[in-house]
Amino acid sequence: MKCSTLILMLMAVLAGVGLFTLKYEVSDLEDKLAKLRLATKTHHQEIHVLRAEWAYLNRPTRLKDLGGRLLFLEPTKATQTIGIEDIPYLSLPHRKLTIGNTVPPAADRDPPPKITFLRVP
Amino acid sequence: MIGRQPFYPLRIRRKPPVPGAVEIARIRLMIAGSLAIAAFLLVAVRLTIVTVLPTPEAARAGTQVKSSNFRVSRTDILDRNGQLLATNLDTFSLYANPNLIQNPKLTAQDIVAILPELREETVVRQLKEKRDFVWIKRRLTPEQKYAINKLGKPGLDFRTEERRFYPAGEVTGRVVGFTNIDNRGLSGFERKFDRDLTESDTPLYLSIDLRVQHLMYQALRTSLKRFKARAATGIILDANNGQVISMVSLPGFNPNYLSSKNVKGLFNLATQGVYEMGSTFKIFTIAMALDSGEITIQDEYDASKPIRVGKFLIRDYRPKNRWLSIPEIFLHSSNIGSAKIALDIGRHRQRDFLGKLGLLERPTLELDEQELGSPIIPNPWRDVNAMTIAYGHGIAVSPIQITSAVAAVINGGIYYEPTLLLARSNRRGRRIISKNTSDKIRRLLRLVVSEGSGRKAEARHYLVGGKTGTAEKVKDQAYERKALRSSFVGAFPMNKPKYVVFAMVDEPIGNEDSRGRATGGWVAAPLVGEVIAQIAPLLGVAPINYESEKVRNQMAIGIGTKKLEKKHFASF
Repeated sequence: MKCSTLILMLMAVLAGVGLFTLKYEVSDLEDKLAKLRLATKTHHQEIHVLRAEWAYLNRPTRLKDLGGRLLFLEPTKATQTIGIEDIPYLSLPHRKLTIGNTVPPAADRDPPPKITFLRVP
Repeated sequence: MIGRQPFYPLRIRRKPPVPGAVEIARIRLMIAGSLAIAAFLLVAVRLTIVTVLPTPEAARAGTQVKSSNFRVSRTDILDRNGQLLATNLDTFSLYANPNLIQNPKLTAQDIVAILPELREETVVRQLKEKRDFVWIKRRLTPEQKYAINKLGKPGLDFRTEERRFYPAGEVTGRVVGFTNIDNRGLSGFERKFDRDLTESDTPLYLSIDLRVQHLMYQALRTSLKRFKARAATGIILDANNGQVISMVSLPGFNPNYLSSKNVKGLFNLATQGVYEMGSTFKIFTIAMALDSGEITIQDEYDASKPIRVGKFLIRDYRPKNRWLSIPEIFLHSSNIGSAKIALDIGRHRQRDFLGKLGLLERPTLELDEQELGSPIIPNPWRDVNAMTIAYGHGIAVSPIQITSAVAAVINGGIYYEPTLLLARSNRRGRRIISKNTSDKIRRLLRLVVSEGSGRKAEARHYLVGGKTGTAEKVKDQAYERKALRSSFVGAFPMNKPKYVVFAMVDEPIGNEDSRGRATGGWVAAPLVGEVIAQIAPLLGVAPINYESEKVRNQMAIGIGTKKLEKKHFASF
């Protein structure tokens, strides 16, 4: 038998084996991709449901009830708001703190208002 | 030679070989051999096809989940801040294959234990049917589905169906609307935008603010209970672009639990109903008068005695029996004065003016035509009509119309069509009155709240202005003094109005708190004040310092008459 025939046969066999393995590798990857896509879709679906549940749990009616009962929160009052320009600089201790434009200009004897963050009865 | 021995019977073997037998054997061998080779080739080819070439099934399996995008058949509706108002959820519908059910009676018992709303006899009958598919119950909750699955009965299975879900329920019910079992929009926004919602992949944003909507809803409900009223409605409008921030109509309905029982709540008072608005119309009468340039704020009218026109008698609710200045006519809500102003301006111009404010035609809100009421206007428009329309009688418009019209009069004079869609860019409006007139109307509206019938609408620090309206309801073609429709239309902050708030309560009954009164000033005005105090911080409206020179100048108005030489400034 000629040497070249032998080499050709060997190459043919090798090519066959290579093609075979490659084909299976690709099909494995395709399976993986399909699974991942399915998982993504399922997750999207779950997120969608969770979003609906989140919206339901955060409906204002419920939040108001919970906030009032557990956190003692009340609707914001106008007197609780001040303008950014009314927040004094620490370096200017002589500048007086008045609450926004919300209250009549305080007479000189008025103490600066105390800022409390949470009132728990 | 080889082939001969086994194939030939013994008796033939002894005879000499038949000539040509070798050839026959060879041919036979060739045929058998080529058949075997063909078979091997077939196997080889098949093997190649199966292992190397992609099969159609495999090809499909690879591309089965082509896109990872999850899509529902109807897109979401969100509020202006992205809060979910309507979405599609998968629900599970239970069906049975009666052929596979082993013990219908026992199975039915188990099912009814989980779904108590079903009747056992019905389920047993269904499970005994000679079919292979029967619906047991559609749209189960996940818990119910889990419980049924846990039974482990063969023959029971589920199908997923999409269902519309409204997280805010009754609060947004009237605006958003609802769909039928096949997810087609039947009412509200869902109906008007049915096609967009099914074809679009991106959610639709409404101009509604869920938080504000909730506060309006709560306030109206409280008021409804407090005054034992029949119905109530409220609208909050962005004064500077016509976007509807809130729209509530009570009694309402929860779109998640719709049944034929609550058909009553389907009527939308805010857009569908048209009503005689009463004194609120005086805003337009005065605006028209001042904008014409023929009547100035210093002019005055004789309101000392009622006007008789044919069989009508126009009189004041609380007569002053003297000459009244324009601010006084507004402040004391004088019907006589308003009627005279309208006559001076003339009925044609009045009609044109109200037309420009969108009060004579069906509004162009994003709702189905059935849900938008057409105003009732007199035809022909006689002088007597002009006089009654001047104080809001003899013309019926819907709350959304009056709210948009008031917004136009106070925002500097630009009318914007009301809209339920969130506008990303500036909207176009059309000029109705001059800036100067609008400024005067703002002062007058502020005066009503600081000094007049709208005092209860005051929300401290937010400079509320507005006008009360109390109309007697028409019953059997006559006005009924006891049955009132009390309304208030307000805006804030009055030096630079950002929002218009309208509230109307139908047939309120006065109680001890209101000293037995059920007028706009006692029913609707406090409601609006309360709502404004709560929504202003949410909407980012900065508190106003009433005492500042600037605000005092912006709101000052002389209200005395020349005759009485009594000129003073409204104080706050």
